[in-house]
Amino acid sequence: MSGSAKLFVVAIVALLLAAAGYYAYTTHKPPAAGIYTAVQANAGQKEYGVNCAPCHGNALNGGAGPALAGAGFMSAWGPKSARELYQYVSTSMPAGNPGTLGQASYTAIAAFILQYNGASPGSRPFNGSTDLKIAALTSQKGPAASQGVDNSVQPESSDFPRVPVRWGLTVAGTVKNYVPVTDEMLVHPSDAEWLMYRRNYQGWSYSPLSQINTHNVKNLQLKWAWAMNEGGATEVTPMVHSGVIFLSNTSNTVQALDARTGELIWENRLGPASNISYGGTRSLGLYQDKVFVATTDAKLHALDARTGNVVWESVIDKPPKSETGGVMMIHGKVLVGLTGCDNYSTTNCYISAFDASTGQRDWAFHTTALEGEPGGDTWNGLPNLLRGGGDTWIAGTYDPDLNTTYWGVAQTKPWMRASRKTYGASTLYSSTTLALDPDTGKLKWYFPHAPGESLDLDEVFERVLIDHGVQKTLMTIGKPGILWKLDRVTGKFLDAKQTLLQNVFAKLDPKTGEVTYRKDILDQKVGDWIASCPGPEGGHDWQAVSYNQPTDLLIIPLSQSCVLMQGRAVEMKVGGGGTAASQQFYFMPGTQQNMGKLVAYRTSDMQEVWSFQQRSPFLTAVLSTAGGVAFVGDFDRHFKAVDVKSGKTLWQTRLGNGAEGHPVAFSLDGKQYIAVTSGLGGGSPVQKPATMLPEVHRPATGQQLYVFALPDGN
Amino acid sequence: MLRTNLKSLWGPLIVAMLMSSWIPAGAAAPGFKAELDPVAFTLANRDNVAGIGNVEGSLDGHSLNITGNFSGLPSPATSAHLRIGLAMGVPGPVISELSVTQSPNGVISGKVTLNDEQVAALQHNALYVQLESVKAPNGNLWGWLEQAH
Repeated sequence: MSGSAKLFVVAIVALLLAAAGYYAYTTHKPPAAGIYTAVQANAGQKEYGVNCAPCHGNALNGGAGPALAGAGFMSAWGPKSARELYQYVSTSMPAGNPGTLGQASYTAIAAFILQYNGASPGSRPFNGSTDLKIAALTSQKGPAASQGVDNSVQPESSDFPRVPVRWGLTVAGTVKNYVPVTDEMLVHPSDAEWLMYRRNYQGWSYSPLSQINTHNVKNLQLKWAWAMNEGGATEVTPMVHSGVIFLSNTSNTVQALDARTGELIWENRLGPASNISYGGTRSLGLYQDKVFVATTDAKLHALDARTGNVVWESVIDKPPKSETGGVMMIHGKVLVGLTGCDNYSTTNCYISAFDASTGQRDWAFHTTALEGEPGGDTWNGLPNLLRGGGDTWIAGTYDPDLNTTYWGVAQTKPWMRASRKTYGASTLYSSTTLALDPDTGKLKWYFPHAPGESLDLDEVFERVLIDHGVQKTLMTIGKPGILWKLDRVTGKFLDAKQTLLQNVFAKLDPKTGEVTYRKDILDQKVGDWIASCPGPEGGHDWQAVSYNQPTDLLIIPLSQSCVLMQGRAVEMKVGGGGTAASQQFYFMPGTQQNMGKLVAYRTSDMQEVWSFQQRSPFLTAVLSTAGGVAFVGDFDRHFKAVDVKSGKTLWQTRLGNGAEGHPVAFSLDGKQYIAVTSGLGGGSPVQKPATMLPEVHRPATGQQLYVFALPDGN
Repeated sequence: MLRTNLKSLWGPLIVAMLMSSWIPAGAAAPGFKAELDPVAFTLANRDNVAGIGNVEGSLDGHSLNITGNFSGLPSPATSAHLRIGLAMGVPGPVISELSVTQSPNGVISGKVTLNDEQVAALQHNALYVQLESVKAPNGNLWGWLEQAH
């Protein structure tokens, strides 16, 4: 045997020994002492059977919801703690009615899940507070191991609504008379269509259609409805072009529906299946002969708009990075943000642009400024790896004259500065408005709304572009509920208005817009409970505003809740970080326990014109029209039309589940239609009312598209 | 930098708060009111902190007279206190104890002499009433006092 051959054999033997050692370690290491009781797990099995099994399967092998046992579950949840599992389940489940089972049931269910994955019982009941990692608790000898549970396999059948079992182009068909979308059509959209997220580049969510008006809106009636995928969050925008509604669903499914009849033309189930937090993309893109879809596994797809076939697919990043905000189309480029940047990763967070024809990436702009780059010295000396957050989970807007695109950037992660150790650092470009050149990705200017934000108060939402004479302004409102007005040419601060109680900032400089945080926020330590009004529900959240141009009114959905937030210590390594905070909820003082508020501001002078509040928060964007009507829907299933000038309710109906998503208006054959979705899932805007409004009962299913119009001949 | 800014603002801010709390002799006693809502909760203790109530306060110089009522507590009230936070909606330490009916429904009352700092905090909606009960010993209802309009 030659020397090199001997060396090869030695290396192989060493590798085998190492593998054997690793096998012995992973399969025989003793699990941590039991953190739940057998009695508790038995009770949890019963609760699970009633409340969880319909979606997650009797054997925890998945269905409409993901598997809760086996390799897939352990991959996702093994590094997390039992407390995190309890917190997630107790605030997010059951789907549609999160937080409704009671602490005893939730701890029992968590105990059962741990037992099923091989965790041993002990003498103390689980109370939801242990920080032990799930991987350290489980021996991989539970029922999950013996049954070979694998959540990569979708179950074949069930009598409960579920995500699709087939993937790909599941319904073939052709859109007839499809007209390619041009740059000119995007700059000057037809009154009859809805080609992008907020209908126009300026982000108005305003329709020039006026057939439905303040006098006849009371006669609106349902024309057709379409049941959408269950599972995941539905916060989507139906896109309307060439007589077709292009509809994103959860589990990254795209459908083309005849807008007149609701008939399905084609369907492409791109996958993967969504979990409860992430759902259908908020904004598809239409350009030339393609539909562009950013998916929850951080990929970008171009589909043939006529047939639904995949033309190209590109990777934006890798999970757990994700994309939910959707895309915007500028000059033949697909601009797309990124979310899921909670945990520390080597790629950080960024906005990027892809060539619409080829899928090649043209540029990327890091929303967490990196070491050595402009703004990179605002992170308290942390290395790039520890610069979490900076997500862009809402699509941007665009000024064609200035050739500038505007994006909001979400907060730094972990949420609390004491957890992430940035303390007084401003952590650019989190919580800013960015003005970028869409051709190059070059930064033109930025404005910091909340430097060093520390309480999960995003400033990521829509940037609305409004002109007052020669003055070109940008208006936006984030979770703190402060309505900002900036000069969108220069980024200079112009004005700000507090729209509801906020106690996070002790001061806002009226000349510069610089905010000063409350003292205890600045002095926070890990473990301190810090009060925040508004809390992470907002203020204002993803439910977008509408700018009604004829009245110069900006109509804003607001939520009125507060939290106490407690930051935790995090592991400062790849995969560490996260949001890392616990919350307690309370009603905003002075609101008579009304969580929902709709308010209209005149943008020229920032004066409030009208407002009203109600028990349930609003879960749709506002759509206003030239007919003087504004449409909005709420958590308690109401979809209503109000008078733009007064806020008076003119019409309302009740949907199958919470009105959730982005209503749109379109016209076909001289008839105006209003489309809205009902939905489930989502983060704080659903979790807070689900916990705080126990009298509101919502079905466990009911993601649906509704299309309304006036009666024929009206 | 923000920390420095706040320090530099603190002195003038206190002066401004004290000035705004000055009340001319002979003026009508300013009225304050608060709605009492459940304290901060999670799903685990939601059912223990239900209920609703109202309180009113009248300030005569530095003397704050408080009256109010509450109902619908899941367990009998045990105590009530006037407290001070950094702002409206921010919890903080006790200033004084108040009288309360030891029942799920009842009344709250008390007279508290405030110092200058506390009067200034009242003018800025930072004083609040908190009610404790058998099932919620760390707080059942709370409400921040603000000027009645």
